[in-house]
Amino acid sequence: MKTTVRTYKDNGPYWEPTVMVYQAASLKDVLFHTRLAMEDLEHVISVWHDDQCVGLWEDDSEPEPDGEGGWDMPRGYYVLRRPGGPMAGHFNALANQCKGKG
Amino acid sequence: MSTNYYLHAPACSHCGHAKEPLHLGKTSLGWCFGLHIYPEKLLFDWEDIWSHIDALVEEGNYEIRNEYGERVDPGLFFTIVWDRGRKEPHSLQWLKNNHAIPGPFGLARHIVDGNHCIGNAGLDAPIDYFVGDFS
Repeated sequence: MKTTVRTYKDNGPYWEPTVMVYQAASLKDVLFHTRLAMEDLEHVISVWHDDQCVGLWEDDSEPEPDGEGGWDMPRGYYVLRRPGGPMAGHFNALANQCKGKG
Repeated sequence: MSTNYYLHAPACSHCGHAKEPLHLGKTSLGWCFGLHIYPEKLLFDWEDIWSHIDALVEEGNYEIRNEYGERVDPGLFFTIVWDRGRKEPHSLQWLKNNHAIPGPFGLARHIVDGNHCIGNAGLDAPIDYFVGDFS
């Protein structure tokens, strides 16, 4: 069984999204790649066993008024989602994004 | 639906060669105009780009064309950049799904990521500043 960490970043309307795949030989590798991806503020970070997504973190940040008439986008509020959990369709869509099919 | 705009230099009257066109930016429906800025050419913002266009169009016979090769009058280009908006602003959920923030006139605004988008023109200006190749 091959374990990989896949990340997805939406680059807006003018660039293709960025999808990255990192191989993980141990739990330490999974933690290492996940932590780096969170520090890089990737939008979706998923863990895969071969072709099966076994869980992912989604950046669930929402735009917030900055108090001066503009808006801030706080980043890095990660929510863990698992297969079989609520919002299965949303989970599948995020997993497909990480496979480059989104 | 998005369209790129370029500033074209006149072709040489002897050999027909023309300089590489300058990519000015890109429209995308419902989003602020993506203005391509060139810090390395000291073109940092809308005022710099507009002055550059104005000078070259007036004095150098340059012309603006869209990606389909159609000539765009500078006045029309100004309108395309500034006269943008949506009747119904994007919902917060849409903005969240598209990793955007609310912009002026109901438009979506790209988040400044320091990589592609390096700034916004101001609260009331429907322009985001981009660097890099995005045509």
